[in-house]
Amino acid sequence: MPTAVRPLHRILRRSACLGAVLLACFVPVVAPAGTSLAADLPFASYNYDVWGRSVPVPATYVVEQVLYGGEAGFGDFRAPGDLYVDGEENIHVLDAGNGRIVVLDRNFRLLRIVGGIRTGETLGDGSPETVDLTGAGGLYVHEDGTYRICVAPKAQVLAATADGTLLRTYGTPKGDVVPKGLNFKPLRAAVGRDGTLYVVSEGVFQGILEIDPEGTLLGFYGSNRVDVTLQVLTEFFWKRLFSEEQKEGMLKIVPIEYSSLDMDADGFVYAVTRESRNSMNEIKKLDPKGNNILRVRSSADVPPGVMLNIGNYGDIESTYDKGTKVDTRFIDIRTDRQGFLFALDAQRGRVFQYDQESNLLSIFGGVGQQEGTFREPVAVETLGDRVLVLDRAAGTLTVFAPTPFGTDIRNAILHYNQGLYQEAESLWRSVLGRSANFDLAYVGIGKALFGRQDYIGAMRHFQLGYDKRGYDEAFAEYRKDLLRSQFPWIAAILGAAALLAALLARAFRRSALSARIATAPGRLPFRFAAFHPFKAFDEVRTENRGRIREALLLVLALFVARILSLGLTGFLFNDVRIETIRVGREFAIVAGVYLVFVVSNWAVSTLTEGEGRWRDIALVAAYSLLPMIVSTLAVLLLSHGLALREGAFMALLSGAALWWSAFLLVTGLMTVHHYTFLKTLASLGLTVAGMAFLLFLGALVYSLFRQMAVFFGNILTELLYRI
Amino acid sequence: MTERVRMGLTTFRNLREFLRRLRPGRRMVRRGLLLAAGLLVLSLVAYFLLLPRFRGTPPAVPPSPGLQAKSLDSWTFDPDTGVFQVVTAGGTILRSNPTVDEAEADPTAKGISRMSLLSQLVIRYADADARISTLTSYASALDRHDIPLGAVVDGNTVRCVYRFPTGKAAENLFIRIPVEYTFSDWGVDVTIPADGIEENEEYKLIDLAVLPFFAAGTGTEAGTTLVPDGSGALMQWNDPRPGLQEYSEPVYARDPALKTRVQLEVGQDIRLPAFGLMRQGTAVLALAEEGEALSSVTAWLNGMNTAYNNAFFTFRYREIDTITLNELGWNERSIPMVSARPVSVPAFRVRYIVLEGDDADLGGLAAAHRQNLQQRYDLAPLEPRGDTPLYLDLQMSVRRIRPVLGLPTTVVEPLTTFDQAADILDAFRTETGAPLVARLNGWLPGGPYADIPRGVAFERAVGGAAGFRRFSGWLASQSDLAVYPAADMVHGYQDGNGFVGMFQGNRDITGALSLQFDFLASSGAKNYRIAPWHLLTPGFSVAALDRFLGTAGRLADAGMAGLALDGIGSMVYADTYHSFLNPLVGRIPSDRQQTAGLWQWALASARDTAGGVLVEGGNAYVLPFVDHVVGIPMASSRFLASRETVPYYQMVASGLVRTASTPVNFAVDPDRFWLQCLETGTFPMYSLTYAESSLVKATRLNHLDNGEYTLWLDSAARNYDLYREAFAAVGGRAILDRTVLPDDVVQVDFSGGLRLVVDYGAGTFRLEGGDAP
Repeated sequence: MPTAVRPLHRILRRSACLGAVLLACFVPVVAPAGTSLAADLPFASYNYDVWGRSVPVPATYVVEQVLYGGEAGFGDFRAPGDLYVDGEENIHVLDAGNGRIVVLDRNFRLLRIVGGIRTGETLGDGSPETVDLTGAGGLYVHEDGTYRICVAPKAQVLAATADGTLLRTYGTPKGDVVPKGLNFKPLRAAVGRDGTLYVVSEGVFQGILEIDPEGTLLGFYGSNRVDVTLQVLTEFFWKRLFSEEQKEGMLKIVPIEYSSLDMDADGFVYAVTRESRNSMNEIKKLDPKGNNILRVRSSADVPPGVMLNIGNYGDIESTYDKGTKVDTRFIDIRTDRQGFLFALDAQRGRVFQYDQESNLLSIFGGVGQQEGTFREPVAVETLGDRVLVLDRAAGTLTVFAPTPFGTDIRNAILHYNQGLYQEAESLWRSVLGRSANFDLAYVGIGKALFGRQDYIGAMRHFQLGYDKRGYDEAFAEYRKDLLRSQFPWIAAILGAAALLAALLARAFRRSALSARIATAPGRLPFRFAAFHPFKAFDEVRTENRGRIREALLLVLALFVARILSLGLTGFLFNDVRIETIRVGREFAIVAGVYLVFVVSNWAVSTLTEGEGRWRDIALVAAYSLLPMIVSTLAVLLLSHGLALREGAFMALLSGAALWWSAFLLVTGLMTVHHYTFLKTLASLGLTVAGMAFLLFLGALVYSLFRQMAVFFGNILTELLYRI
Repeated sequence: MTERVRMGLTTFRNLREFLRRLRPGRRMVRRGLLLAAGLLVLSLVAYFLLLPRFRGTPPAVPPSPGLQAKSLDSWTFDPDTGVFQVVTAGGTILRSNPTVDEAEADPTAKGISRMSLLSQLVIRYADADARISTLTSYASALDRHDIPLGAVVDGNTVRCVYRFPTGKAAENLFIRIPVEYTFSDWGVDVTIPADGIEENEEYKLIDLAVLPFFAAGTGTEAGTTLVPDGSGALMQWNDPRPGLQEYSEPVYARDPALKTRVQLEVGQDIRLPAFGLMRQGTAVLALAEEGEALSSVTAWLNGMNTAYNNAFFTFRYREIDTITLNELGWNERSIPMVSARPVSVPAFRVRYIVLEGDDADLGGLAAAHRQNLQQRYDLAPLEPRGDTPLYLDLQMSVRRIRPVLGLPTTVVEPLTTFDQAADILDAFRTETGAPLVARLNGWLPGGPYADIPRGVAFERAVGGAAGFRRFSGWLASQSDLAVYPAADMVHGYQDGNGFVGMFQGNRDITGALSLQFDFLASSGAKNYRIAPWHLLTPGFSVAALDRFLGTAGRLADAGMAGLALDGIGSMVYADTYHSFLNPLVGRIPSDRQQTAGLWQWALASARDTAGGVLVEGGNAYVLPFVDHVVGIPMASSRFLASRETVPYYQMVASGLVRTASTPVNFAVDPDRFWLQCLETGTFPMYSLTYAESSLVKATRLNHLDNGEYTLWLDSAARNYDLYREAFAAVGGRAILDRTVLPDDVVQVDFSGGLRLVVDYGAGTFRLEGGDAP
């Protein structure tokens, strides 16, 4: 049938099968060859270092089994909505698509099937009427064995007995505090000790709904506060100015909605938010008042750049797809008996394990078609030390069991968080024996070593784990011991060094070289400039003393001092990572600021009848840097000998040097320009304004040239690609 | 004289005038400039003259001799429909396609899948705008009575030509694909002479799937499909589990030269171009024998696309890739592109081997596969040897940024110096008593992720030439130690060091350099903290290896057992870029199959020069050319659609090639991993350093996060002691059969009547029969 061909074509081009048939050959499922990692895991196992960079670690949890209902003999799950492990470790699966609840024991053997939630009515054919559970997504099993089931499409929370008899239905709550237009779409529910029903509802941003047994809304629990970000503040500012219509057009900033909750044995509520704009505090532990009491490091205790334990839950690295940020989207949370939190990320199908101190302990799972990866994960539960994840799309229940590595981390943390550092040490050592990338273990060992007064070992481990506080304490003790035991030696060495320096200086002063320098015509000695600025700078102006060469040398010296201090400052006072230092950028900053200052001040002085020549200004500006250069180097040396609390001394030193430099600059400019003091200050102000202007111009030119450079660069790249 | 030449001369005169007018005081400058220009030209000329160029000939694809088995009784071929059927000795009928009635009755198949049930070929082609369409031979090439197959029967060979009408019917444009079937006593060879494929100007063939439903299992049959996923995996026919997805992967992994935007999934690559269909009493092993590097393996189960359980090869005739604009931006766009030239293999060939009776199981498949390899490459089986080597992968150095006088500087730091390497080897020799095979990494100047080496030289941080001499002297006093220093001639990390990225970097069909990125484990996005690197164009890569081998005699003289070549055992990529400058810069366009050929040449010449070769990964093309393969797949990707992971790779390689595992120290459970090594006749390997592991923190080697050798010495010694005898018994023997028993017990039959029973639950094993100790 020749005619049959063409219609078939048309069908086929549109047919979804087309993709399925062969296109799939080109969709890579597995990673291309690359690292020689032993990938006997079907998902990536990683954690984060303190800087928030993902690092490989061995598997913490592996798949024990993937449970299919059909295989286990009770029929395949259809769009299962939720999972609950009760106090007896029985597993309740809300098999929403089949309108039933499947109850398994801890070995995944079938206990019973609750065939549906019966209303008590009978249908025409005599069979009992059951509630349609399509789209049901929340299951809670109360201590007394009764169920709470959230059926979002029907805006109902059902209460039913263990055998499936409907007890009552909570509809959209009533009461005075119900906000206008409340769209009740219950996702998850839990029952408090006083019988209050806690409900997380989609599209409700005020918090978790607290509903009393009568169905009255008592209020909102754990209300999310709006995170104060710059964006929020600007928005607040504009809203004051805008008309109502304009306000309507603006993007609304609302508190973030919860996606799930879990209640622990002590009655604390753990809740996750789907996402938050600054991706912070997605997990909360709420006390009875609704305050978040999940501990994170206080911001004062976090060195710049450190990304762990600051309340940034989920993946720290994020990416963009079509311009939208792809970030962790928590959909469920469960806490186990030992207080470990397991939060499920719907975005990438991963489970994140935290302890009560917000330490990220492990990450496992993924999205895909392999064991341990998911298509649409909806719920996470714990069963002893195992973790269960329910996949709605695949209809599977995946069981993860901890590896020895994961178990060691768990146990180490349990000891560590109780302050039992010595007990935790061997566990931490075993963790490190499996992975040098697990930073927390270094801190754990550091604490144990500190307790045993092995301060050097402790310092080394704290440094590896980037724990400055721990390092500081160990260092202070170490220094104390050192001074106490070795004081004569240290004193002798220091004394000898001082003596040597003095002798050398004297020898230099008496040397021919020194004499030649001293008698060199027009030379301005550094010490003279620093200690007798009025006289020195006057001679710059009147006797042409000082040389541009030496001025430039001073600027260079500042640059060198700066680089040295960036790279070599002691661990405690160094917040700069070596790989982020850009030598060219530092040079551009130092030289650029100097140059712009000189130009700007020269321009200002010509307008304000300053008498200094540009040469004078260049000299004054450079000689004023002297105290800063010396203090930078001094601070660099001190940073290796001082503890954190003595840092104030270094700040004092730097501050004094800065004031001294400023003093030199002001006197110098006053002298060379023949200004009054006030006029000097005014001209300095103008100079700064001029510098800003110059920088602005520079930025303008830069961006212009940059665009041009990018344009030509693209052309060049294109050409090179095509040759 | 043309106008242009005159203008050129004028310009030249002006320039001369300009230079003359430079004041005499600037003469030095002038001369300096002239000198510099002259030097530049000279050095460019010298560069292109001295550039290593590939002048060898890759080993020819050997013909595949027939097998001895007699498993087929008869065959018939229907010249009207192209359908053939074979009757096995046991009476089983294997058809190339279901009957029309059966296909009609298929409740699952729709559209293309339905048509492909009755087709021998399914092709995809692209129009000028790279829009892709699919055609099935049944619906397009046969269903029109005006297109005969033109089948010619010649003894046991049938030749026919499929004509696929492309585009609109009125255009009357065809793609012609000849197919040749050769029936024999043991199976069928299906050959598609790629040079006989005729296209038209408008439409270009992209790929073709061959015999998608040959020997497919029906919806009621019991059977399994073997897919070469990593070590191998079995899919159960008519698996009742819902939502399973098809298996479809390229042989030898996806081409790394193609662009990758995001990479989240983790899995195993295909190392062997094979699949198997096993039913009661009859099994079919399919091997892609020519053009396998261009093929992919697809396996469907009942309910995925049709009601059948089938598997087939798809051969890529043209590369396709996409150009992505504004990557990850809101206006990201992808433009598909189809290579202008087809691949240049002479033929695509699939060999279907039919196995009967007792051979119709996994062991039978592996044996047939092994026998086929052995015959084709004339390989001698390994001697069953009493020795049981332990493999050590030593990482010698790491690159790290350190402040040097405050300046951030990349420095090479030692992880294992030559002296320490001797210490490690000595410690392992003493503690375990095992013969050792060691690979040394990062000994070349610059350490790992550094230059393309021009010749043998030694990194100072690990001891330099003096350290190497000491090491070599120590080695001479030892026995049972084989050391393979590793060189990477494939990845170009430091542009300008041994290669010029612009010239010798691999390019894809869009002409862009095939830059390689590190991908973040968390988001799967490109990791821009690590600079992208090049793949060297294969022709230059082997030429650079040739240059390197010029000095490799030093290694052999120093007692090294051979050379370890990185990269080429685990990946093939295509350089499909054509330019008139190619001959100048040393680029030879090659498709994946040609690249595999070049790799074979590289292995063969490295073996000649250095005395031996060790590679990692173990793609099938390396097997005839190496002494050791390390890091062979020890797992499958564990797709939900597969029921069981099987050590098919090990079963094929057993008794043929010495293989070692992926590093034991990175396994989830090292003790269980040892058992698994024993079960699969694979020698265990450790990846070690002398220095403590924290030194690799925050470096590119941070995946070696537990390699400190003292951490593993004891457990290696303990395990080796446990398994020494057993390894000695099974080492070098072929695996004949493997049975999974209940309670995590596996029973493996080795050649020579030896049976090994491994109880994973209890962590024990038992040897029976043969000359078992």
